[in-house]
Amino acid sequence: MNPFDRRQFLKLCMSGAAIAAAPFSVSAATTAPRVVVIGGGFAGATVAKYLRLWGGNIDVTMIDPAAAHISCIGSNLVLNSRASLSSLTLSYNTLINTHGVKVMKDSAVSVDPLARRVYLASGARLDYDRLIVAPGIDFLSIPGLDPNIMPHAWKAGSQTLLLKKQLEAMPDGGKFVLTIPPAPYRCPPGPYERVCVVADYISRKKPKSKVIVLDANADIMAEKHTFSTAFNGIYANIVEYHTGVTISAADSSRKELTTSIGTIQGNVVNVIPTQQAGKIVFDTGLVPAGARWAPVNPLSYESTVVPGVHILGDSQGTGQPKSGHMANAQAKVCADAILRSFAGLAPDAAPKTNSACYSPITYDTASWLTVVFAYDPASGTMKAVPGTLTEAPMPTKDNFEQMFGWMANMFSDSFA
Amino acid sequence: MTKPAMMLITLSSALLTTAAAHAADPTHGRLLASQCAQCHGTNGHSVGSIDSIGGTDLYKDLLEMKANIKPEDIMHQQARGYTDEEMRLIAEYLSTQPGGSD
Repeated sequence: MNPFDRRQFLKLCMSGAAIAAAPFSVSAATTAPRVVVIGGGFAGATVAKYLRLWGGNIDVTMIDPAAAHISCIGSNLVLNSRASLSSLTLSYNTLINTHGVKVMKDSAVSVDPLARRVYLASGARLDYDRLIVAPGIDFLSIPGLDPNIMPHAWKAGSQTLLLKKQLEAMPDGGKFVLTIPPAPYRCPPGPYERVCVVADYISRKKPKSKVIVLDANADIMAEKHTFSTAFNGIYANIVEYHTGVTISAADSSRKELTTSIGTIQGNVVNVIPTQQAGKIVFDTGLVPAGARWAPVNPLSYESTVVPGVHILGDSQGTGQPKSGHMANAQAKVCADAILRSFAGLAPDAAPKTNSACYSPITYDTASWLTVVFAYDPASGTMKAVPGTLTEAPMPTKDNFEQMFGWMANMFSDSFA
Repeated sequence: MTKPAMMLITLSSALLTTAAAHAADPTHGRLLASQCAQCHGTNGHSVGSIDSIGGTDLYKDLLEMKANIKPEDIMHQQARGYTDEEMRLIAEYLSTQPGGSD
């Protein structure tokens, strides 16, 4: 045992005793440590649940303007009627009734990180010992773009239903235009998966129609084998895939886009704009000038800019993929680190996170994508463990069934 | 020093080392195992069609997956991402959880 190990060992032994004697009370104060969570998506719900599950007497308040969360995971399946929006609507009731999380239907308007206080739209204010900011993504604006005419459907809910309605109203022989933003964006395989479900619908209902894909990236960003096989194989007569295309303006009334390869018009124009961290993340000063995401220490997801504030999910900038599954994965590392900090302990020094996700490719087959990340002490970053970033060899019916099993546990592990 | 005394010391230091590894981080196994829950349910208790993994000892299964990676099986790819010791900690934590599915 070298001196460093011995010090750590002694510290951990003492902390073990501390855990047994006085769980997570920093001082002799009788009040429970207060954690405020901004955002009730996969990141926010999971961290709130696990703080209570693992921490016991922690005062956890989660703030979200919605009465329930509508999952983006599975929402492409609404477009070809393989899932309903109601099956993707996740209540906060179990978090409240079983786990003792306080949920406030409200919006955080500002944070005072020095006073450790959050101000809400209702006029209420909340003091915290630790703040978790997990608001998801915001979109960069495109001149002339009206999302009520050219929907993104990249936040599930009314936008998903609008896009479905437009797809179903499209004439046979129509053009469905889909734009893919520059990476990083929420859900790397998501846009390509959407191409597949729209192409599936078209192949069955409107076979003379086309899907025109305008990708800002130089290549397919996830599951290249799976999606290029689909685009060039079963969907070769439907999908027209362009790379390196940027969108500079939109004419919503004409359903027309000004792009780097000319003006492109469609019957349905599904514009997924460039993304960045949620507004409250910028307003709290968590994003350095010129950046789009908030830098954090991946051992705790605590901001490297503002102490006491943790950023989870799509808004954090560790470089791990932005997805509900990863948000859940990170939330557990964060919950563990916060509970340790209340006990006077350093974060777990060797966390791992993983991603596994299923993508529908046809009406009844799906693929999967997976990776395991490990903390690399030399660089202080999460790095993919070599050999773990893999995709399914081919889409299968078994995977399509497993996809629903994965969704059921994803939803339950995060929200129930 | 007599032979039995030396053996005793060797034995006790071996025990201490093992104890140290366990005590070093009482929640490390729990944190690692929590990463299984997105697919297998909280504490390995599945509410869907994917297998529950709580209440069973998975250590040998995990080692076997890593030793014989099948490209079509997502778990085999995941198994590549963990050391044997991490697998042991994950299996140990999950084995203490209630089993079964909803």
